Amino acid sequence: MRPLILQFENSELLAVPAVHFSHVFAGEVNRLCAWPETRPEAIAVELGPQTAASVAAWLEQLCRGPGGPKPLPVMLGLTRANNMIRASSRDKAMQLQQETGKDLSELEPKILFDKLGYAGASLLCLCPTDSLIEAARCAIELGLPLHGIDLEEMADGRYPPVTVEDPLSANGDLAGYVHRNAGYAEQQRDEEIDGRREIAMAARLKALLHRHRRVLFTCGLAHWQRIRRLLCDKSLRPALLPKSARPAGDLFTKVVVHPLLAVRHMDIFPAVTVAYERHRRPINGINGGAQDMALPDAARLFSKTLRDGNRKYFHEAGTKERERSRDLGSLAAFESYLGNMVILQNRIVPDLFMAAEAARETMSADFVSALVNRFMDVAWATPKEHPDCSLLMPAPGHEGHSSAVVFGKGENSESDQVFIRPVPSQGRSEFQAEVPLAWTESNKKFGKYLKNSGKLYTWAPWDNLITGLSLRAIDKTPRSRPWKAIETFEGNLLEGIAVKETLRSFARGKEDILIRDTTRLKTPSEPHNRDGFPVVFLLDPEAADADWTAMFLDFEAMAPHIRNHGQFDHLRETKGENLVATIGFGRRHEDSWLSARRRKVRTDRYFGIVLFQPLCWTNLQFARWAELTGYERNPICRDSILQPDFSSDLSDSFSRQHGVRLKEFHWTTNLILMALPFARDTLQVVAPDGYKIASAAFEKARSYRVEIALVPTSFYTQAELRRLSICQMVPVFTTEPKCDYPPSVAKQIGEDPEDYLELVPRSWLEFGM
Amino acid sequence: MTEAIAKINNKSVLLSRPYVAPATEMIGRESEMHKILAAWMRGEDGFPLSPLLLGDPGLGKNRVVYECARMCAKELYIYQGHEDVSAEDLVCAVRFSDDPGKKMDYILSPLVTAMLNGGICFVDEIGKIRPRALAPLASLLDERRYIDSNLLGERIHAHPGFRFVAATNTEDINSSLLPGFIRSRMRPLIRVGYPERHEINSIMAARHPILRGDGRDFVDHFWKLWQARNGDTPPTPRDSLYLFGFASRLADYEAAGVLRPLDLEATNGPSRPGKDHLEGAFDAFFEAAERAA
Repeated sequence: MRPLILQFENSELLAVPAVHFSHVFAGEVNRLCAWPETRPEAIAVELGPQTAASVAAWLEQLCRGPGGPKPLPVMLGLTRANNMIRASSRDKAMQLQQETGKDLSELEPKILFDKLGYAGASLLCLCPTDSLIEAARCAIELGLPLHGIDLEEMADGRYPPVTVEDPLSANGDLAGYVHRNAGYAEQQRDEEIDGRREIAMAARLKALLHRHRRVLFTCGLAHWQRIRRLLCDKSLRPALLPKSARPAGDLFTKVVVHPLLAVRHMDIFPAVTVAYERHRRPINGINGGAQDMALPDAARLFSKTLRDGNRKYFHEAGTKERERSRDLGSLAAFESYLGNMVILQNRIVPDLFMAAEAARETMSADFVSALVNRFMDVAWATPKEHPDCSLLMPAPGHEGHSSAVVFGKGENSESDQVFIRPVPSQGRSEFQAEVPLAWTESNKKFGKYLKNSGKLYTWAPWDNLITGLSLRAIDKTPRSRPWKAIETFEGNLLEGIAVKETLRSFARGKEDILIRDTTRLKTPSEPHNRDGFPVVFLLDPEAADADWTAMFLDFEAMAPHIRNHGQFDHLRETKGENLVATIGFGRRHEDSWLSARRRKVRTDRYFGIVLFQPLCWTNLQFARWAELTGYERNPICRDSILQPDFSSDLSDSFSRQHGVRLKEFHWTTNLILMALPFARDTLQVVAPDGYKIASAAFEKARSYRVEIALVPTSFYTQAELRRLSICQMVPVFTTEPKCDYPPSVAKQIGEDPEDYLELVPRSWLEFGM
Repeated sequence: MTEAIAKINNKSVLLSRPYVAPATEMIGRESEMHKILAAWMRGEDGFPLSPLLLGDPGLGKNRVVYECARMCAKELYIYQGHEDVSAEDLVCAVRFSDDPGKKMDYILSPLVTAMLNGGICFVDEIGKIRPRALAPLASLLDERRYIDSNLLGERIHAHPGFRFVAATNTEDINSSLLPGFIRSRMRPLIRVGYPERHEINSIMAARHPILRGDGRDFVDHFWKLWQARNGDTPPTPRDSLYLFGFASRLADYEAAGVLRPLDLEATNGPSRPGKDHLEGAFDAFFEAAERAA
C-alpha cells in the first residue's frame, strides 16, 4: 500500500486519515507499525488525552493473557457523560427553560435530544477494525507513547451524510484514496465543533513532531485536509503537550455493547470485524513485524454469508412453504436491486444495512429476519464474561434507534433512557434499517419480563389459530354488495347511460345504447375483508357455570403507532384505554409455572368466544386496524370486568347502549348480542349442527341491519376446535413490536410461537405494514 | 390530453402527452430517489424493477418521481388511478372522431404511450384501481414486458427504455385489494416517511421566501402551533405549505382592504403574514377536522 507520509522539518508524519471502523485503515495502521522502515516513535490519535489513556489501560487489561495476547471481544465500549451543549443552541436552551419553567438538567433526555441535539452520553466502542483502536493496540504492543491529541470534551456535532468511495478501494493506495475523497469527506465537518478540535489536534501534533522523529497519526478522513493545512500554517504554534494523562476510571463507564448498538460501530457487517481480529497478528508477537497482515476479503465473506443464509432459509423444512416459494421467485429481484444500490452508492460490497433495506423492500419479513440474523451471527461479548461492565442496550421500543439507550446491570436494575451521540454516516450507506435480531433467552438474561409482569398475554399459536379459523368462516360466507350491471336500453334509463360501454358498442359496429343498473349480489368474500369481523364461536353451547373474560389491547402499546392522536386521545379520555379484542365464556385454570422464573402460565377453557379482530399482529397493525375501522369495530372500556353482578363500564355500556343484560339470556345469545353492534353487514356465528339461534338475537340483528350467518362447527376439524377451546395465558419479554415469548414457554407448552400461522393468509399478515 | 399520432401495425393511434413538472428545488428524499433509480437500472439480468411507493398523502411521493424522471432525462407519463378505471382504460380508449373520414379515434393511455416512447409511466393511486382492472399490468411488469389491447387487437411490446413506478397511500393499500399478482411484481416496496423538521423548514423556505432570514421566528411559531394541536405527529410537506400559503393569503386579503371588487388575480407580491394570520390558518384547517373527530 502506498502510505501517506509527510515531512515536517526533521520529522516524518505517517498519516492514516480513516473511514472509522473500516478494516482497511486499521490494517494500514498495523502495517505501518509492523514494518521496521515505518515503525513510529510515537502514536497520536483523534481522542482526548484521558480517553486515550483509559482506552489503552483497558485494552492492555483485556488483551493480556497467560499464553500471549488474547483477541479483543466484540463489542466492549467506554461511555462518558457529555456536559456540553452547542454554543449555537444557547438561545433555544434559554427559550426551552423559559417555556417549561425547568432547568435543563430537569428536562427529559428526549426533549434535550430532539430540541437541542444534546445527547447525554458518548460511546467509544473498542472495535478492532477502528484505526484509533488499532493504533492504541499497536502502541501497547510496541511500548510506544500513545497521545490523545483531541479535545477531551466537546458538544455534539451535526454530521450530514456524504458519499465517498468505498473504503475497500483504498486497499493498496491509501494516499490516492485520501487524495480522491478527503474533499468530499470534509463536507461532513461541523465547523462549530470541529474547527476548534482541529486547531487543537494540529497544534499538539506539531509539538509531537518536534519531540519525535516519526509520528503515526490517525483521525477521521473528514478532518484531514483542515489538519494538514493547519500543520503547514506557520502562524499556528505547537501546543504545550498535556502531562501524560492517566486513565480516568471515574469519568468512564465500561460497557458491554448490545449487538443492535454495536453493529453501527463496526465494519460493514460484523463478520468482517471478527475476521480482521482473527487475522490480526500482535506486532510484538513471534511472527509479528515485517509481514503484512492478510486482510479479510469482505466481498467473499458477504457472498458466503448471503449464500449460507439463503441455503438455510430455503431448505428449512417448515410450514411456510408458500412464503418460501414466493421469496424464491423474488430472490433475483432482491439481488439485482441490491447490486444496483451498491453501484449507486459507490460501494464495492454492500453493508448490512443496505442488504437489510433491499431485502425489506423486495422480500418477506421472514427472509429479512433470517438474513439479518445470519449476518449478526458472530460470537458477541456477553455481560457474563465481563461482570465488571454494565450492559448498554437499546431503550425498549427503540431497537431500531441508534441513540436511545439504557444501562443495565443484573436482572433487576435498569436505568432511565439516555441518549448517546449518533455515529456519523462515515460515508457508508445512508440507508437505515431496523435490525430485527431474534434474541435467544440467554441473550436476554439482562433483559426483563415486562415491568407490569402481573399481566399475562395470549399464547401466539392460539392467536394464530383463532384468527385463521375466523377468516375461514368469513371466507365461507358470501356477502351481499351492490353490483353495477350494464344492460341494453329498453325504455327505462334506470341509473343513466353507460357512456363508455355505448361508445365501445359503437366502435364494434353495434349501435346499441347501454344503461346502468344496480342490484345487490351475493359475492364471495374478498381476501381483505375487514367487514367480516366479529366472529362468534359457540364451541359447547350446553356448558354452564363459567365466567366471562374480556381480553383487550392496550392503548398504551398502540400509541406510538397512531397517526391521528386527536381522536385517539379523545377516546382514551372519554371511553377508556382498553380496546376489547375478545370476549369469552369459559373456566380459568392456573395449572403450571415456568420453573426458572416462577412465572405463571394460565390455561383457560372456553365454551364460547367472540373475536372482534385478528390477533396475530404487531402493535402497529393493531393501531392501523383501530384507525381504519374508526374505533367502531371493538368495544372500548376502562374496566374490562364482565360479571352479571358486577358493575363495570364495559358491562354498563353493553347494558345501557346495546341492551345486553348478562342475566337475561342464555350465554350463547349474550355472546351474539355482544358481537352484533360491532358487525358491519353479516355476523358469522360458528356453532354445532342443530344449534338454534334465539329469536332475540335475530330481532336485534334486524335492528342493526345485520344478517346472521351460521357456520357449522363441522366445517373445522375436531383437533382445531379442541385446540381453540384451550387458551394459554403466558408472560412475555416484550410486547413491542409484538409479543416476544420466553423459549421456556414454548418448551413447556410444546408448541412453536409460529404454529398455525400458515392458516392466516399473507394479505392479513401484512395488513397495515 | 393527446397530440402525436403513431402507427401500430398500420393502425393510427393518438398518443398521450407527457407531464412536464415545474422545475423546483428538491429538498431531501435522497434515499428514496436512490432506491427508485437503483430499481430502474437495468442490472445484470437486463430486467428493470418496478417500484411501488407507499406513504401517507402529502408526503411528496409524486415529487420524488418527477425528480427521478428529471435525473434520467426521460419523459414522464402519469396515469391517475381511481375506482372507475377499467382494464381497457389502462391501455387504450376510443372516442368519436372529429375527422369526417373516420368513425373512431384510438387514444393510447399514458401507460402505453410511455411503453412506445421508452418513457416513464407513473401510476398514481394504484391502490384505488380495482384488481381486475390491473390485470393487463401482469404481463407488462414481468419479463414479458408487453401488454395486449382488446380494443386495438394488438400486442404492444415495451421499448427497452420503458420504466414503471406506482404510488399509493398507506391507507389505500391497507384497505384495498391490490392483488397478489401485482404486489409480487411491484418490487421494491419503498416507504416514503415523514421528513425531518429541518427538511420541512427548508421546503417552506424554498416556497415562501419571506420565511428565510428573519422569518425564523415565524417558523418557530408554526412548530409551536403544530405541536400544540398534533403533539409529536409531524406535518407533511403539503400540510406545511398549505398552512403557510393560507396564512399568506389571509394577509393578502387583509392588505386588499375595503376595495371592491376584489382582484382575485392580483400578483403584487405577497403581504407579510403575521403570527395572527398563521393562527387563523391553523384554526381554519383544524377546527373542522377536530369537530368531525
